[in-house]
Amino acid sequence: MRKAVPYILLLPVMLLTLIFIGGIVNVIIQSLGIIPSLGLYKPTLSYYQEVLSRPDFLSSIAFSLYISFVSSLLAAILGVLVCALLVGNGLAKGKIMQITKIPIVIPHTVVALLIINIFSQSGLLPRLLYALGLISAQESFPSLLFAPNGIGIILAYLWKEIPFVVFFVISIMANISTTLGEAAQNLGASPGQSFRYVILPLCMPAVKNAFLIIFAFSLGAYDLPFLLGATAPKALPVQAFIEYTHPDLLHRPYAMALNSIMFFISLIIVVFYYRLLQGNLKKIER
Amino acid sequence: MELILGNLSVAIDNKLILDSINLKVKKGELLALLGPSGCGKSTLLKTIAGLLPPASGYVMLNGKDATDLPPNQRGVVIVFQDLRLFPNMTVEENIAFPLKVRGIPKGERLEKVHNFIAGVQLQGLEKRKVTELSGGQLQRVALARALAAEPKILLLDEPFSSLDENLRRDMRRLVMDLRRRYGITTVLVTHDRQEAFMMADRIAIMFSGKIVQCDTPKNIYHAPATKAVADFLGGGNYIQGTVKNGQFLSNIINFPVSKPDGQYTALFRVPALKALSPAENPQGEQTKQIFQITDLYYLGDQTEIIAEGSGQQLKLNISSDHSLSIGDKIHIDFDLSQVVLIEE
Repeated sequence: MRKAVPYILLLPVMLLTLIFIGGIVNVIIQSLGIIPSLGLYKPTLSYYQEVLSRPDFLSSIAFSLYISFVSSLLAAILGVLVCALLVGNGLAKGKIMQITKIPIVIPHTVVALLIINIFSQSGLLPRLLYALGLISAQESFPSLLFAPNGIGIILAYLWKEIPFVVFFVISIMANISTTLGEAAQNLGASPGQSFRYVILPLCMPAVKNAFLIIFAFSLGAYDLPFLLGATAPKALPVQAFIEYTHPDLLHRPYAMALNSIMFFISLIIVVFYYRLLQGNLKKIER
Repeated sequence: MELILGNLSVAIDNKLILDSINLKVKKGELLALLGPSGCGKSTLLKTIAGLLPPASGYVMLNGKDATDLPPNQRGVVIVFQDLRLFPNMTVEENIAFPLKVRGIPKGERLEKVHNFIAGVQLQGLEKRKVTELSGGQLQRVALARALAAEPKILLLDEPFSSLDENLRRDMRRLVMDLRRRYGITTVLVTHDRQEAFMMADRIAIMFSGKIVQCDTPKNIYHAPATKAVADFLGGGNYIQGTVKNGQFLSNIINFPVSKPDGQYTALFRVPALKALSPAENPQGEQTKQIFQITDLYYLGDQTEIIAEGSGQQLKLNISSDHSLSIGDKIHIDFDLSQVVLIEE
């Protein structure tokens, strides 16, 4: 009985993993055009071919990659800057760190409403700028939301993801700063040189990991692009959802092909993530 | 460069770590800061280097107040106990770092780096990552990197503590050799008294954030200021007594001294005592008491004896070819030329 205990304790995880893998296998099978209940039996790559050649699908893929890449890159850069400011001023612990964690726990849907309230043409920011006489009318504030350039979505992701990068990187940066950063300054480096040559390069594995996590998340997330995105182009998850809920059930393989594409991109990211992790482990072992 | 610390106090999290430290290190001198773990030695080094702000007092470098000078402008370099080499750089890049941040052109930089690498005998390892080096090699890289910063004052924070005895001896020689060559004022933090005796021009003994005695190794050894200092330097046999009219009086031994009257402790280090068989006449006739052996510890060349008599326990060594055993009775000869009197 004692031997069985670890396996029993693992059961919930194994069950969840089975459901997860089952879901993925089901998606891939359906994306290959095999849905017996709809009378589709013959495996084919035609759905992928169509998805990868139809302009609206292609622009969805490009749009999703664009908003994920830009928002994740900006979040990584700004997150590192915030970390540097907090660590440099000895604020890596304490109340300010608690405040930076708040956006992480706020749901994306709430963030979307917040962004609409601030950045829409009737939002707080245009009203403030108008009241201060900095713009001639509220309507002359650039339309950031629901625009094809996805600025609204990127802003919302930044609001969520910068704190995540800070949370992910700051303890490592604070640790490096108090040991190796201190040594660098002791050897004659200015705080800027110490950051550039020692602290930042040593924090990069953590920054890259944080980037990959938020990139994979934003690529697959549905809520923000749905609430803040333009009519066209649509983000990949939004397009996939539309195809999935299409009244004509024969559209389902398209939805599954789009999902599979997201899955394969995420898989590549996971491989990168593990290679980074392995690299770090090897360094630690040495 | 001369270093002066005046009334220097440091508090961390409202706890006083250094308490009114006054210290002067002359130009080119090697001062060893000797004290038990946690007495504030490393904190003192960090404060001298500007990595910790003092709560009060001042740091003067070459006669100029440097208390508020940022660490990168002090010319004071620490070799940290944990070395703090940059793991993202090779041996060469680590040593070149202080030259790079000073804006020295690449050609000149490389030439200097190779000189330092030769100085610490690390040729052939230039392109290695520091994660691929042994403990002794890492120490050498840290030393070379510190020297490349051309420090006016070099602070060594227990730099050899993680090495085995042979490597430690080599590194001590290397440091003394380099110091002679570059003539850098050096402060060496250690809790190893032999290291301090071997390397230092002067030793400052530190307990609980205070410097209790600062003098040459010989003076400190022969005239420790307190029993705690004597203890830290190896201790020995303490005999409590009184000095009255130029005579030290105790229940074990009496002898003439040139000290004012008062309560004293006489310290006889282990080599100052000699065991004699009851048949032999104790030399000097200072004591004719009989001591009984309570313990014998074989140490190789010598055997340590613990003997008791008149309520006093004494420790002494004899040659290992003895024929004594526990319970045997002996006389003890006290070498009065080696006695250290500590006023209480």
